[in-house]
Amino acid sequence: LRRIHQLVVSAAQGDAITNAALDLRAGLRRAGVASELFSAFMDPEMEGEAYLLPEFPTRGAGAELLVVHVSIGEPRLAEFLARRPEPLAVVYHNMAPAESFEPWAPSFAKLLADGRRELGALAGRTRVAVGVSAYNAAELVKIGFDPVVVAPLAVDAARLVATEPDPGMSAFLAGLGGPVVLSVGQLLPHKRVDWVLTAFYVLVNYWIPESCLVVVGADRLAGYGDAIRALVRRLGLDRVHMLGQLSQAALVSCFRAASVFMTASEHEGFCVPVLEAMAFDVPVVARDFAAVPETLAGAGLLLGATDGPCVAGEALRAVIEEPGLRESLVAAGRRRLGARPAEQARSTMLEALLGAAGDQPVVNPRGVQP
Amino acid sequence: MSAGPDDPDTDLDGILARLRAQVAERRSAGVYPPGLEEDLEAELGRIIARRPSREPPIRVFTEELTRPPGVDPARVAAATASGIPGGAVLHQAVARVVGHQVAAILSQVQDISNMIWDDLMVLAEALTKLDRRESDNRDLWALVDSLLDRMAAFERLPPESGGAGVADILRRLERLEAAEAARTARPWFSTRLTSAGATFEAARLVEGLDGCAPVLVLGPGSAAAADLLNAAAGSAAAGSAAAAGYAAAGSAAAGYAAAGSAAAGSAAAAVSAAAGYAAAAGSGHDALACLGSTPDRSLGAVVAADLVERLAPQQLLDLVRLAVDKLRVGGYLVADATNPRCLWGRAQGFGGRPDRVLVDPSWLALCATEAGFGSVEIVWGPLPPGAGAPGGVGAEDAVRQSLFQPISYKLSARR
Repeated sequence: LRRIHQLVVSAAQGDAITNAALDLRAGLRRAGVASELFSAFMDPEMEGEAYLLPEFPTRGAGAELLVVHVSIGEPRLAEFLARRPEPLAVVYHNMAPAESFEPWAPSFAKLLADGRRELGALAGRTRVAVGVSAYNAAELVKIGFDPVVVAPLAVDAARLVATEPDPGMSAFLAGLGGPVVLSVGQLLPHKRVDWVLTAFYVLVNYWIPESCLVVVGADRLAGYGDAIRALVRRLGLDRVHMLGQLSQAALVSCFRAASVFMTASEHEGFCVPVLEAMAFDVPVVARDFAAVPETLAGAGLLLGATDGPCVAGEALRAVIEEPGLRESLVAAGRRRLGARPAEQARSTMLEALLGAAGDQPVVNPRGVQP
Repeated sequence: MSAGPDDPDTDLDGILARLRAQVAERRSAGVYPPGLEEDLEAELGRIIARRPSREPPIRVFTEELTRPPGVDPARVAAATASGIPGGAVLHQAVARVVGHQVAAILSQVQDISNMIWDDLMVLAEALTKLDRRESDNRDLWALVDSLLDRMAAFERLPPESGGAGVADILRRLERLEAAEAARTARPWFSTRLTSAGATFEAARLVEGLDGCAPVLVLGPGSAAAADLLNAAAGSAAAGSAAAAGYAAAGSAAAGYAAAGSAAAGSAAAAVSAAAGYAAAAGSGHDALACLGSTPDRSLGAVVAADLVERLAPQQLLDLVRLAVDKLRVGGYLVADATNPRCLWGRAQGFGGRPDRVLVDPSWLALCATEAGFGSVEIVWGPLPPGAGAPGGVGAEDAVRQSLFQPISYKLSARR
């Protein structure tokens, strides 16, 4: 029996990287490969689904390949990897820029900076590196990984769409009145929720006063969250609703109620919520940064990096008030989702990892060359 | 770039160009006032600039202090070459003399520098401990946030949903209450020893209370203080009934957590009945119950020994107000506490114990004045070790004065 195990820094319910690892584990097991998930830290609710690193010698022995999911630095994981003899595969989810976190959480910024160093140290002993976007893959190539494969995240939009909405949340959103601008993403500096607020300021003060902004996402950084709430008060935006982290059912309610989805993020390795919005026929307005244009693939209004809040506010107004534009964006979103089904993304990732485990030449379907 | 992949009719680039043109037009027409966008984008920066720093500059300062010096004076060599016969020897002799002088001066500078360095390290340590924004209440914030989230979700539920969600809210409320209760430390051991020097010695605490009987001594430090008072009373009037009264309460007083209201009550009864001295251990509710159970205007003094920092803010106010009621005219309220203005004490961790709330002397004095005490005096405790060392430099003396205030203080308020 072949064995390919995965390593993440932290295993937690609802965490995007944990979900990606669990999805990959299911694929590996379907392919007849024994696979377990190990982590440096673990949410107690993950007991039985994942194991802590000290359990590796008893549960992970004999692996042909260790798949390391990288999104932040962690000394324990780095030390563990330094001691292991197994060949590695790296799945790179990208790391937020450390400088964004410097003013808010210097210790977290240090972990991000360390993470980049630790990633570089893995390049020499990695059989294959996988970027979940071409943007990520380009970073891997720059660091020195070879070969590098692009395997987009498997976003199972159909499963999300099939989820029953939360009745309480749906009732709340229905009671808001007016078009709903939705923004989904953790409250972190590089996600630029503050920029979404300024665009909404223009929309609500100059064009559609009855519109609402619903912000969904965990408040991961107390200082930044406080500053965002202070900004809402300073701008007098009484039609902004910051709902925090929601259950999947409540999130589905938000997507169903949304008139337009907006992200102003300046650093994304992939940006899953863009695809989720498309799955609910919600037109997308985004900004031209990092992997966002790649994930959007022309199926949304992509503001230039130098466009300001006024252009953004007018873009929101146009999507809400111009039916032709709205319909064409919805249709483009559907085509975008159909072009890359989840199964195709899964098989690309599996092929790369199985090839690396068998020491076969790694297929490089996206043509990323060092 | 932004055209729909298979939809030649959707010219997203064209739409964006139109939007940009509209914005430019409206900007020139004054619909969008000048500076609007810059102002909007700068607003977060203004908010950030006003927020308190989470990374105290004191850490940067400490790192600077601990950085090793860049130049070793011992490695600096003087040129001693000379073209005159015997000149080199002369140069070397002069260099040796000058070298000794320079070394002596450097040594003096180094001594002063070391003293300042030590003081600054104490200051840095104290300030680091004062900066507790990162940890204070953080555990409760998460629980409060979670509770508010649930309440918000509950409010969003349609009316026909009945009481769904109430049980969840109640469960979270119970967790919050339990977490809040767990924040109050009630050690089963005496913490007085861990703060040796941070409170008044018993003898200084009860100084001047001779002849004030009956005296009620409250708090974990009551045993020693009452012992002294009883001994003094015993020498003056051997075999007083009060001594027996104290002995009964004293056994409970030895272990502060063991003393309950009953023991406190009996101590109060003994002291008022025997007009002698008594100790009642315990803090907070027990001490207040003990004081409250004595008849009005019946006491000559109330001594709060190592007590006031263990009281909740309202309990402290109650203690002072009760003392006014229970003391006869001319009676004393005496209380000792760590001096929160002594940064050296902070650096030693005197202010960091979880069972204490630091009480500023000016606040305690104000409470006493407002409660009706006619004469209020603060008696300062000992200075920290090394505080009296001669500085010799004006700036250093100033630093020392700010660092090394008295470790403890005693309030003496006369009714």
